[in-house]
Formats: sequence, C-alpha cells, structure tokens
Amino acid sequence: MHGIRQHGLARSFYEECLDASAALEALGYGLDTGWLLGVYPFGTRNPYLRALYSAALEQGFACLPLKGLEQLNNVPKPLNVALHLHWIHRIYHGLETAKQAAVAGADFLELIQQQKDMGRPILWTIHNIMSHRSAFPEEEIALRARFAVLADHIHIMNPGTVDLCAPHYEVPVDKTFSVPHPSYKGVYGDYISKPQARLSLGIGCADKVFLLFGELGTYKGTRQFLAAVDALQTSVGGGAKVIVAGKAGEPAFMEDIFQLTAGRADVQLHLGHIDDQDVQTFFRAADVAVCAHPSGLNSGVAAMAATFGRPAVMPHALTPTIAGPEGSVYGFDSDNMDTCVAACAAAYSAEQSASTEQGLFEWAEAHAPRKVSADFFSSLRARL
Amino acid sequence: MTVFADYRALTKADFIASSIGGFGFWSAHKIRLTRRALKRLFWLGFGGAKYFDLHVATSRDEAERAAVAVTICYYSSFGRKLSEKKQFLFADTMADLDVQRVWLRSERRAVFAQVAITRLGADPCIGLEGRLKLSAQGELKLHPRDVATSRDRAALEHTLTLAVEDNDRTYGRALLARLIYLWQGEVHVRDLQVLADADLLVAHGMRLDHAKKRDGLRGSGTFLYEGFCNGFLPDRVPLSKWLRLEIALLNAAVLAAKVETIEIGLGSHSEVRAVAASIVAKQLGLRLQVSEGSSRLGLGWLSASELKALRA
Repeated sequence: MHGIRQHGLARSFYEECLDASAALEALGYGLDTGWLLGVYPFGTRNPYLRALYSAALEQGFACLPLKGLEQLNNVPKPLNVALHLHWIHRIYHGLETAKQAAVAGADFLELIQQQKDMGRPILWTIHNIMSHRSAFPEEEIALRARFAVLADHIHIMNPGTVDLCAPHYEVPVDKTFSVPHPSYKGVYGDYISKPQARLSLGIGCADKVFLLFGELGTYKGTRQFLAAVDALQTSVGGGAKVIVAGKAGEPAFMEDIFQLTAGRADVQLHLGHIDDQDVQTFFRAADVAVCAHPSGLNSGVAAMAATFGRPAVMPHALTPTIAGPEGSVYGFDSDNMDTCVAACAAAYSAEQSASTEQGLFEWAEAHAPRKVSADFFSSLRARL
Repeated sequence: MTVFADYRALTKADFIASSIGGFGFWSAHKIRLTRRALKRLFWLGFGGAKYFDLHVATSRDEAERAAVAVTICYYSSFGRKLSEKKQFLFADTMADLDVQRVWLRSERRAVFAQVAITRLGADPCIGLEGRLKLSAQGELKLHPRDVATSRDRAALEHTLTLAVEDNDRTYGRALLARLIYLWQGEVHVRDLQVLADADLLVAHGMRLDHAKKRDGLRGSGTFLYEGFCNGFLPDRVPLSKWLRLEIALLNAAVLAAKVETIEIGLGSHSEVRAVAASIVAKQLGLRLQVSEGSSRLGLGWLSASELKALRA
C-alpha cells in the first residue's frame, strides 16, 4: 500500500480509487457491493494493519491509506466509501498545549461529522483505553468519548474492552463487534531453531530466558520488571536471563533503564529497530515473553510470542485476547510486580512442555492474518 | 549558580581562529556550541597521556547523553594523519555541572593532535566552559571509593585493572556498572559477563552437564600436561566456557595416551590446568599429580585459592 507508493508508483489518490474500483470489479464486486475503505492513520511499518487488511479485496473491500481525511473529498462519486479510524490520538502529534489539543479534537470531529453527513459509515478500532504516552489525557478522554458516539461501528479485539474503557469513557455495546487480534503467522521469518537463536545471542542452552520485546517506553512496565529481576532469579531458582529488545525510548526513561541494567550480567539490552528477519531470533531464543505494561487492551507482543510457540505473561485484563490454548498466557495483577514474577515462573514451567508449544502453534494457525481478516470483513459487511 | 545566559554566542573571530586550529589558545571560554566544529591544534610534547577538562551544560531540565562530540585526530611531525578517535560528552543541567575529562593518548609517532568540538543535537541549548590547555597525566587524584561514581573514563578503567589484579569482584562490578551506565561499551558488558561467570564458578563450581564418569580406561604411564590443549587462554572469555572445551580436549588426549596418571607440569596458568586436569582425572578415574612448584597466581577475577577450590 503506502510502501508501494513510496517505491515510485506515485499515483494520485483519485487514481488509486479508480484502480481499487477496477480490482474490486475484477473480483466480482460491482459499484453496489464493493467498498473503498479509507484508513487513517496508516503506519507503514506496522504489520498489524497489513495483517488485518490481508483478505480485504476478496471480501469486497479495497483499503486505501489516507494521509489526511481531506483526501476523501477527492473520491470518484459513485463508489461506496467507509472510513476506518485506528489511533485517533495521532491528531495531537506535534501539539504543545492542551488548548491546541482541544481545538485539534474539535476540528477532527467536525471532519468526521462531514464524512457521516455524506453517508459514509465510520468504523473505529479501539486499540487502547488511552494512548500510551498521552500528552493531553483530559482532551483525549473527551475526544474518545465523543468519537465513540460518532462512530457507527466499533471493532474490539479484547472482549472486555467495553468494561475496561468504562471508567474513562463509554463505548456503546450495540456498536461493537469482536474480532480477535491476528497472529503473526507468515508475517515474520520463522525458520531457525531455539539453539541456533540462543547461539546468535550468546545465551546458554540451560538459561531461562524472559523476553521484553518492542519499543521501550514508560507505559510498558519495563522499569518495574527490571527492578524485580532479583526476585525473578529467586522465583525460577537462578539462571534467568532477561532480554530487552526494541527501539530506545525517551532519554530520561532510558537513563533509568541504564541505571537498572548497568551492573547486571543477567540482562541483555538490544536497543534499536529489530529487523523482521531478526524477530525470530529473539522469540525463538526466549522461553517466555513478558508484556509487563500495567494498562492496555491488547498485546501484539503476546500474539507474536504465540506465533513462535512461546507463552506470554501479561496483565489479567489482557489474557482473554489469547484465549484458548492451555498454558499459553499467564496473568498478573498490574499493580503488583510480585504476581508478575510468579506468573513468569509458572510460564517458564509450562514452556518446558511440548504441548504448550503445540497449543500455541494451533492458536496461531487458527488466527492467521488472512483468516482473521476474512472474519473482520465479513463481520463488517454484515453491519454495513 | 551559573545560568545559561552567561554563555556567549560564538563570533566570526572564534571561527577564524578555529579554522587555523587556534580556538581557545589564550584563555578559558564560556560559549554556546554550534554544530560547526571548533578546532584546536595541540603539540603533544613528551611524556605520557595528556588531558584537558571541560564543563558541558544544557539549558534544559534534564541532562543529555552524547550531546557533544570531541573528535581527536593524531598527526605525525610531517602532518600525516595517523588516527582519529571520537569521544562523546554529557551535557549536565545547570544545577549539576560536573567536570568531564578528555584524554589525548600518547600515541606512537604522534606529534600533534587536533581536537574538534561540536554540538550533536539540533537545539542550540548546549554550552561549554573550560580552557583548552593540556595537562600531563599525573597521579590519580580521586580516592578509589570516588572513582566508582566519577565520569573520568581513564580513572575508571585504571581502577578496574587494579580491581582485577586484586581479584576484587565486588568493586569490579561497581566499576563496570558505572562504565556500562555511562558509555554502554560492548567491551565492558563483556567484562561484566566474565565477572559474573567467575561469581558463578565460585558459588557452584565447574558444572559439566553431559559429563559421565568412565571406568576401565586406565593404562600405564603418565600424561604430562604442560600447556593448554586449547592453545591459549584469551582475555575476556568466561572461564567456564573456556574450561568446558579444554576439559573435552584434555579428556581426548589422555584417552589417546592410555595413561594412569595426569601430571601437571610447571609453567604459566598451572592453577587453571590443575582445575581441568582434576576434573578429567575424576571423570576417567585417573591419578593426579600436582607439582609442588606450581604457580600461586590467581587468574582474572579469581584468586589462586578460589581456583584451587574449583578442582574436582
């Protein structure tokens, strides 16, 4: 999608719509049954969106990433158009004051209202209760509350979303439809063995490896987990190795991370973007993936871990997102790191069983991107 | 307390002086750095390494890592560039300004060194204070207990060497923690792994997961174990990993020789060879003969007595 655009096929958005219409027609979807789905915002490096939209065309939806909502003013008239919003807090990007945020929120909602007035359905996927690094929490809560009213359909991945959001803003139950987070089967390279992965990282075969994967940030509970590594060592009887892999976060936060890890030989830091081909190295080497973030609705890391057959430790609120295989997810109380350590020990014991890995592989297969994508679009079509 | 307004902007005259390597020749400066490098040429003179001290400040509320780069190019007497080294400095908050020492090494054939100082970030919030005047390396002025909290890399590394010589793992860990925290250097991370390995060896001994005792292999005669089967014992390798291979090689060599005794010959690292030989002798049920003239030296983070305790 955008990636192709960046590689030199510079079509106008209007032309992209024409091409999308032709592609839909070739698959048997005419002007009455085919849909253009404008997607905003679109992260070119985010595999989640590509996975979610992987079966879109077969289901009669052509997904077009939008640089801004105003692009939708330039769509060939006869086509059905719907709008799919994801991380709406991105409208605050680059703003410095709460007043600016409030104005941006009002302008954004006005644009959405205009799209609704043109008869275009509005779909919202709720990824988080609040954005991870919410700079304007009050304004964001107000934005989310009003957007939930405006949206025609709300896609949730965690069955508990409505209840978890309730303390902050209301999500109308009748607008929601639940399609789970896809696995990452086929998304990343997955062909190396556990011993090979460990050799690459300089980790011994007998080490008990706990992986914290993804961009580092204050919201992920990394600090709290690293502060509990001694307790983790005691809990698993020694030999634990903690790997932290992902892009470095804010400087002040990284100072804390460096302070916590500088004297520890049992913590490995791999800071920087992890190449798609290297993702397997970290997950294959690991025994357990740890999603220590205290709040949230979904965890892509847990889905990634399941894809590589590794159990995950995550807050209780998130465990329903990987429902199914026994011994696959271990919940903890997000305000009590002791329970996280205990969950890590339990997950490590489970990982030693071949049935755990098999169960997770089956979950990943059942939630393969194209299957989840097909479910998502058939659910959406039923509501349009 | 110093305020950022005290730092003056650079002038055209500063850059003219810089272009001929003469910035900061006459006096100390308190300036706002730009991304255009300020250059100063030094004659290195005689003797060991030399240094100059700087204070780097940020007007922001939080200190900044790698805010300033100091590039040092070494030249021969004929002006030939010999090498280039880069050092990154922290920018401290105005409230916590602390001295940072830039070292110029005593490099072979190097007669001149050109120092280029530049701000790395886009924001013009970095100030520099100090005199670009070389001082000769003298005795360490820092008390050992203060070194572990200092930012003088040379002092930290020198004290780390002393800690290794004393087999002082506790202090060594503190020094390495400081070095890693400040510079995230792979070499120091590796050193910490080696130290942690030594800790584990002392706590749990040498563990061989798949080793089995083998009986009925005894022959006659003595295997003289004079040098490592593994060739040599390199620096910065966890001893347990190295011993694992040494033990396997010695095991094979002793089996091939069909002997009843392993004798540890005199020479370097005899304490380490004694560890390997004792484990092999126990595995194969052989006799072990340790020469009384053996070395009483420790190795890296392990003292001689700790090494001796590792014997099977």
